[in-house]
Amino acid sequence: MSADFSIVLLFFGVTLISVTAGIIGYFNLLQKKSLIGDALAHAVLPGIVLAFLFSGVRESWILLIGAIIAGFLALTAISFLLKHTKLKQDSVIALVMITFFSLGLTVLSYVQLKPLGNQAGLTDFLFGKIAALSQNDLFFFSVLCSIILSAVFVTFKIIFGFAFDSSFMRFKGFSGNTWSFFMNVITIIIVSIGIQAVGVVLMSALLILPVTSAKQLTNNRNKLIIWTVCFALFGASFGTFISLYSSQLPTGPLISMILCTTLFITAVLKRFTLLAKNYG
Amino acid sequence: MDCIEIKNLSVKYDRQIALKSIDLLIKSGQMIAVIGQNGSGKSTLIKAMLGLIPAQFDSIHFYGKSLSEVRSQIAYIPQRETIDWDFPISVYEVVAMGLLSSKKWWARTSKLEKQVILQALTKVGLVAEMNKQIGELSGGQQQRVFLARALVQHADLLIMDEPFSGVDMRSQALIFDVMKSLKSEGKTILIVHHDLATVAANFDEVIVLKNELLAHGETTSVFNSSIIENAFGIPLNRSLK
Repeated sequence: MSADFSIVLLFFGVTLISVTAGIIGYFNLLQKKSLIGDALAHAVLPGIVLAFLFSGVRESWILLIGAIIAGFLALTAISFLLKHTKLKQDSVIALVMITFFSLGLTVLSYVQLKPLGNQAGLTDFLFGKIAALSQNDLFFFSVLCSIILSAVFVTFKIIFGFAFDSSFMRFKGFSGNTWSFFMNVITIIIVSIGIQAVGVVLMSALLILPVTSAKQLTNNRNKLIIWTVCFALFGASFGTFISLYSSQLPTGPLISMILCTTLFITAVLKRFTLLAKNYG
Repeated sequence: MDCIEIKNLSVKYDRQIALKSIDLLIKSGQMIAVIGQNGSGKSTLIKAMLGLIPAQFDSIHFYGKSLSEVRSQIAYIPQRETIDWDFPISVYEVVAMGLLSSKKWWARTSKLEKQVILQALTKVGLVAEMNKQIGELSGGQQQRVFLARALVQHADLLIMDEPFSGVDMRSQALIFDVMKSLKSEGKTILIVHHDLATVAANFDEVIVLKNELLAHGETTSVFNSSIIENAFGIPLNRSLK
């Protein structure tokens, strides 16, 4: 397989992950659950490292299973603490995120001491390194992203309806628990995939920044999705390009910096548009 | 025909009793107001009977059947405080939600359904605003959007939670007109209502709550000084101000 084809595959894979994360971020924002995505990105780390520790191989699907289990444990912990303590939601999310991430880092340090762990490149999960992704990984992730995007496309009306008026949807006979579970599953999957491209620390950038930038430009349902996809595409492709051609720079921070810049520009644009509207 | 029959309904929040042993029998084709002080259990009653919050009861029947059997015959408009008005949804899209069905949720909106949406929007006077984001409308217009969403369901029972909260006079009159027109078609309208001044002129029956059922019956017999004073703690003439 030629080097050019590998690069094209890498671009395709990373942009598809970024677009999928952007779309999931769109729904998280509408459900006012943007911070959950960030918490999950940190919380899946111990799952990934433990999956590697027990299996001894760095196979994407094995690590994904570990990530999904850790993600669900984190969500269960958040629900439990919200129900049985007087802590506020943001405090609970921070508590669970820090606990899981600390555990992940501790286990990661332990694994790094072992010869096999040192070679596995698990630290790539912290900051992301797309060059570490194999073609098999990219193929596997692309299939998963395509399934997630298709599922979201088919169920769009329902997820959107729940985000807007959950009591109406429940009254119409839709199960709130089922659809919440569905959203949690796809968020955990995209987070588990995404951290391999941009890392644990900056995964929330892929989820939150494209849709937040888009929200500065429009409040129309369909235009918001289109702008979210555009920003996700731009951030991922530009960041990947720079990362590939300057091997010293990590992908995650680059994509995040580009997405932060687009958010800054759109926020300033919105401010000036509002000023022009009010005083123009 | 009996529209709603509730036997021994109770609701607790933590350890506090929100509703205690409610028995209700509501006939079809009426306009009924549920009144009471803040915290008297008005919205709780609606949510409990619609299965939206946990509740204890012996039985709740709509048209002699359980809720799951007659869901399509009931339309529900929630309190406006629960809605995020900055949400990226247009007037048309809100009304289209009324046509969502748990049995055919994947289906696209048909031409016939689009016509039904336009008819409902015409009825509430919002065709010109149909592409606007809901936050761009006035409080009264927003409430009319939700009325249109209820209209597209062609339900026999309309349940509304404080539909006149934050509503201008024009919208209030228009909403009452639509309700009276629905009632003339034999539909039943149950409303959680806070404006006592409009009760006597518009409602056939009144349900008075104070965490238990204080009174239920025809407006002319129930809406009197002693019951209102018991429910609100002040005389009827002062409650109307």
